[in-house]
Amino acid sequence: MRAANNPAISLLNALQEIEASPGGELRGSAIQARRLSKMYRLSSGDEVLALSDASFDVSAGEFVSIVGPSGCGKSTLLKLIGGLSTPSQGEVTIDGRQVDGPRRDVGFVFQDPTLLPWRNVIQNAMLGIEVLGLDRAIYRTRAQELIDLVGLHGFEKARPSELSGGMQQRSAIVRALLHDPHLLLMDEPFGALDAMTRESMGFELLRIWESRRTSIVFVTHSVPEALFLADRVIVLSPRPGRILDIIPVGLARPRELEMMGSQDVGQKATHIRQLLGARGRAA
Amino acid sequence: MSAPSVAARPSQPRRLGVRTYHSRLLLPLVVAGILALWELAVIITQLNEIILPRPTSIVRALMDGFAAPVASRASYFPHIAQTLAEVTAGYAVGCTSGLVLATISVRFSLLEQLFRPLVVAFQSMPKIALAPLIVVWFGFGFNSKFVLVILATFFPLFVNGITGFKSVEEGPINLMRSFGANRWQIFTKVTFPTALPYIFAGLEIALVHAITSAIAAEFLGGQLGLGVMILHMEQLLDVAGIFSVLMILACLGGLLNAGLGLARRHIVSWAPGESRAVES
Repeated sequence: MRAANNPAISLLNALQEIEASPGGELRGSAIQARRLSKMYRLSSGDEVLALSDASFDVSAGEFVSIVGPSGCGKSTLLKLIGGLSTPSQGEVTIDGRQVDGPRRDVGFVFQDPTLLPWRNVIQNAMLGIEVLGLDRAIYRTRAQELIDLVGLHGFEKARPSELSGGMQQRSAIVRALLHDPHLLLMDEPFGALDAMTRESMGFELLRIWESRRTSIVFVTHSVPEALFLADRVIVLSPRPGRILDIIPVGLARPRELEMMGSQDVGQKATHIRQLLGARGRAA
Repeated sequence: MSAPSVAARPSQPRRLGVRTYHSRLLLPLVVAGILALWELAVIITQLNEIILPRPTSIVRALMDGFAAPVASRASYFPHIAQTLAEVTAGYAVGCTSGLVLATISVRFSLLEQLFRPLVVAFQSMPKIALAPLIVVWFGFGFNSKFVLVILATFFPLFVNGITGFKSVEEGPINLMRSFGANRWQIFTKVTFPTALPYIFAGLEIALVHAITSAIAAEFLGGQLGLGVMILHMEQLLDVAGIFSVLMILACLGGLLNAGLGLARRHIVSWAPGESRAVES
């Protein structure tokens, strides 16, 4: 079910062909999160603290990963940044403006590709453009470029049910990128994929990111994935999510698989695992 | 649909294999056999045709009915037109209002809390039981049948509409919100299409109810309609005629249902499996 042509080669070719976006210059957004807390009220009436006192910055064009055990408030944190949810305490600002709702310069990729089953790949990609009321003709051409970029050429008219999991997630990435967001919020986007597909999707994501220079906040529960992709890794504790450490990865770009074998990366991975594991035993 | 390397479509038109070819031939053969047996049995047992008419008598009644001048009382055409008009008009109004009210109820949860118990109470009552009352209010003409069909088709769409609209998951809603979509955009682009399989299931249930209640209302009296015809034929002990009208009803129902099925397969071709019926 994978694309017949080699995605890596088609990507490189496509990257060289892609021109600047119609929306002007591409740049990343800077995020400031200050003392963010989020309390949920359950249907039983009990209150649950999902996220506690999280403060961090993401600079323009930076790739930041958030790792933590399941249920630690990673998704909550992403929703707060994206304006899909409002913090109980604290605030988030993007490019100096406080977040009080969804912003049009943010793109979301969820763990579930969330493709609408009655729309084909290109129609799914165009969903945001239709909602935002942007020029469909211009963005249709861009959608085709992005579809080529992620290796979905020839599948424009395919329905989601006809695609593999990896292809569905690529399609979701095209949708998130099409309106030229300055910030990409990704909630375990490769979590449902097999290990091989996951690795190649990581490479593709880095190439896309390097060509577009958006900021990315990438939630994952995989420590190697976080280290491989990100400039910095934010480690969250089990619920209530608290920031345990923020670790600069310090690897050169573009990233190569061999870098993951270095002693430095190994120490950082062990450090993160100890942070997560120690908390797990204490709980 | 002609992209060069599109993945194999799961629902490619099936070629007629040996088995399907046989089964296509088998069904008409079996039906013909049963009819021949029926004909023979009536002849041999010398059964009175008032009890069970011979298939050939039914066919003759059908041919007479269609051959009679359209203006005459014996012609089937005005009756078919009347019943069809009652069913389609009532169906259109009943289904539309059920769906509109479902939409409003889902949008304003207070209204749903208000409507829901009333609807459930009213729904469990057989609508056909209302027919005599409706005739008292609306007379023996077109209107009483029209109103009864509306009542019979409203509820399947109302109930299935609400269930369908509520079947939308959080993910697509969050996705739409992340693009800053308003309520109307979320409804038209996500909620309504998601509910379509439920709505079609409701439409299919409503179609059966529509035909049933139109005929039931016609049984109470009137000038035109297939139900009225059956009533007249019963008084004349024209049992072959009754059978011929029943066959027309079966064909009408089958045709309307097939049309609906065609629309459903075309519109919700993306939905996995069969439509999910909620109300029966």
